[in-house]
Order: sequence, then structure tokens, then C-alpha cells
Amino acid sequence: MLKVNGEPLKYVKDMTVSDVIKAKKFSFPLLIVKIDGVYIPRESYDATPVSDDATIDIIHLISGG
Amino acid sequence: MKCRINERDVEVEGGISLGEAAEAHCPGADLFILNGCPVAPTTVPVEGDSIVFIRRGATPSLEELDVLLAARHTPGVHMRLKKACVGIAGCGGLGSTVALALARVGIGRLVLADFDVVEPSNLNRQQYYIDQIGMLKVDALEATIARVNPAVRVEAWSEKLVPTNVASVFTGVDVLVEAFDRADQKAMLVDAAMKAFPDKPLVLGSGMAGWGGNDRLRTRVSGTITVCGDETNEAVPGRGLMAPRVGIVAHMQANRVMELLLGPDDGFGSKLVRGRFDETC
Repeated sequence: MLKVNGEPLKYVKDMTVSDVIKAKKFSFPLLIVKIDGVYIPRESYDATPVSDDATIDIIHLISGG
Repeated sequence: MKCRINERDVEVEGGISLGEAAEAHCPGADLFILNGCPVAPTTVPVEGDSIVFIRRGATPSLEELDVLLAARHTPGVHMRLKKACVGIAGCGGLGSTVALALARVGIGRLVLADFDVVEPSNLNRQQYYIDQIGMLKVDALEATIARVNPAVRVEAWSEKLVPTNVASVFTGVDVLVEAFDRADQKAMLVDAAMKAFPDKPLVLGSGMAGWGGNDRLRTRVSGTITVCGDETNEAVPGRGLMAPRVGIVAHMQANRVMELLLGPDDGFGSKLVRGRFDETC
């Protein structure tokens, strides 16, 4: 099962990282994405496929510090 | 019997109290710390105990200070942290607070990076003082660290961090702390660090604007990346950044750095005292 931040997400055929981000409707533009522990650079979101059993962690980067 | 007194191996007569031992080893001591915890002078130590005698109000020498500063640490922590090096990217509300927390626990080396100078609006949450306004933050912070713990070795970088210099600035650190204010800077650092050293632990702060909501501040771990904060409350017009909430997140970051360096707090130091002095701590 595809999981994003511990929650299941419905897998769609040929899904990419960009599609996952769109599906989750994240409100902040800057994110860190890791698929099964591997860091995915921002420039690769469109081209990186997601498998239907991937575990994805997405961290929001929010101004303030 | 063998004990550690002020970080030296010392032969102590069995059965005598700390007050009696102090007469021989530290005359005039009026504070008695056993295995990280203050106790009464009538307490009787046993073989292997770690004892620190302190004369309250007396300014110690630099070598003594290194020992006395760690008297309230969990035993064993100080020696391990002294060998560690931590990088801090950005010396604002998060970075200055993380740096001082780690200096107080006796971290061996800090690599500080920030190009900015101290200005008045920083003082609402950052560890700077009025007489430091106009100074480079890294210089001001290095000076303050030296006032707390001169044993910490500080490497200060005042050029702006960009994708091409992150790797060279932080190559020698055991753990890297992301402590920027702006989200695009946070993203730049994470991206550069993950590409340069994917195995190095990275501790981020994200979401700490406003006040209250203590229970929404959390620590999330994803492989080598840890994020501290609520991942929600952005600093925007209408929602500011203030000392308490930024300070909590900074200390969560510093606390996570300790955990990464020492391993989980499973009581490795308190095994000595368990069952004997727990009630006094």
C-alpha cells in the first residue's frame, strides 16, 4: 500500500512524486520528499515514479527561525 | 576504594561521608554532587561513584571549569560530547539558542555559519545583547559562548551559505542543524546537504511562529532527517516569531542533537545511582 506520512494514499497508474504532492493538496510550496528513505531532489519530482507500495515521507519547510 | 573526584581517579577511604572526603580533596567545598545530582554532605559514596566538589561563589580556573560545568550532567555524557562537532547553519533565533545549549553541555566543536549582523529586532528571540548590535552574529555568538564555556572550539563562517559552499563548510561535522529563518534557505541547505552527505544526520526546525500550542510542537524522524516544530505555523505578516516558541523548537533541536550523538537516554549514566539517590534528584 502507498503511504504518505503514515497515511494510505490511493495509488494511480504512472504516479510521480509531483502527482502525490498534488493529491495531498499541501499548502506550503517548499517540501522535502523521501521515498523509502531516499532523498528526492526538487528538480526530479516530475520524473520520479512512485510504486504502489512506497513509503513516502514529506516534510514541510516553513519560514521562521 | 576508587572514585572519580572532579574528573580525577582518586582513592577514597571507604565509609566516610562526602563532607569528610571534601576536607582532604577540596577544602571549603559547600556543594556536593554525586553522579550528576546534588546531595547532602552526610551522603556516603561507594566504589566507582563520580563526585564533584564545588566552592560556591569562587571562580574556578579554566581546567577546573571544564569539570565543574559538567557536574550536573548525567555521568559519562561530558566525555562523549567533548569529542563531537556540530554544524549550525544560520545563527538567528534557532541557531544562536542551539549553539548556547550545546556549549553549556560541553560540545567539543561548533561550526557556525551566518553572514548577517545583529540588529535590534533580533533581540526579541535571539541570544544577543544590546551591546552586540552591529556585530557579525557569528562573532557575537562566539564571544557569548566563550563567556559560558571557553573550552568549546568555535569555527565561524561569515559568508552566505550557497549550494556550492555547504559541503566544504560542514564537511567535518557529526550532525548538521538547519537554523535558517526563510523557507527557501532551509530548502537550499537540505538539498545541498543531502546531495553532499546523504548519511549525515540533519536536524531541521519548521513551524514555530506565534505562541502557545505547546502540544503541537513535535519531533518527526525520517531516516537521517529530523524535523522539530509544528510544520504548520509560518512566520507571515500578522504572525510573528517570539522567544518562547522559537526557543522551545531550538531546544528540541539541541536535545535531538544530543540523542543523535549519545544514543537514546536509556539510563546508561544513572545505573550507578538507581535505587540509591533517585529520590534526591
